[in-house]
Amino acid sequence: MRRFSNVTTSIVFNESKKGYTKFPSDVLFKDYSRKLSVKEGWIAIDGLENALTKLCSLVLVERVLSRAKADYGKDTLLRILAAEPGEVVARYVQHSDPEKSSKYMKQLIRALELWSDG
Amino acid sequence: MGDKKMRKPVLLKVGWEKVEWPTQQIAEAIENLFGYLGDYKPEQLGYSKTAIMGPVGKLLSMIEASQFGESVESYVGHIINIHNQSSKKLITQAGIERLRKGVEILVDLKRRFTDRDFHRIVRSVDYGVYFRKAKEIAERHERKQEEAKKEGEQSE
Repeated sequence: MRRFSNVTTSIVFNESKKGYTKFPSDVLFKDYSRKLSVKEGWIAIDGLENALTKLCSLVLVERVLSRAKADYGKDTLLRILAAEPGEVVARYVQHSDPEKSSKYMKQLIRALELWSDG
Repeated sequence: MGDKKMRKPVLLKVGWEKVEWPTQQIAEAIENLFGYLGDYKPEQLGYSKTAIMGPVGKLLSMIEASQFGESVESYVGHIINIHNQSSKKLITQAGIERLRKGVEILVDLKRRFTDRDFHRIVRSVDYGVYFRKAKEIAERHERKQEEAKKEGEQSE
């Protein structure tokens, strides 16, 4: 509990670009904690925020596709991962009502850009 | 059994030659063909691939099938002809130059890569150009909607 209450004042909020995970403060792990640059019981994980952004954008793409019944069923996330962004847009356009497709098009394109560039 | 000699093993060189994927050239081809499509105004607007890609879709399949071999001029001439028959706007000199540059890159890639790899390259260019155009149309659509909304608010 003490560790969680310390979180608000810890490095977690000072360095939002990184992700963090807890590390046991046991003396037995002292060497490891030094090697892993553990600070205040936490280890920084580079790129976690970027990974989460990408994952969220993938989920968003999946939602837009599902809404238009253009998803790939259970494999949707994996298929989006392997597809060209343009291929996903083409599939969405093919399956959706032309008048409604423009409504979510910008959202889909933004999410695909985040996924492929971010 | 004992007289039988062991066959000499036949050694084959197995493995893939490490060929660097032409990411930069693919991006340049996309950029040039996207630029050329600035001149293409289809009869019917929409997000469909046929409407958006115009003559570029035809160009990609022609280069993949080596319809005019390595003759850049022939591809460019053929596409200009299709363009001027199907677009509401005639092709400009700048459009021709962008088209030529895109064709040059693709013909060069076709020469350097296997058919299988070139198919992947064409697919990347095809969907890359389509994505850029779809994005452009979506942004334009959004801008128009915002302007209409502002005008509506002002008139109230």
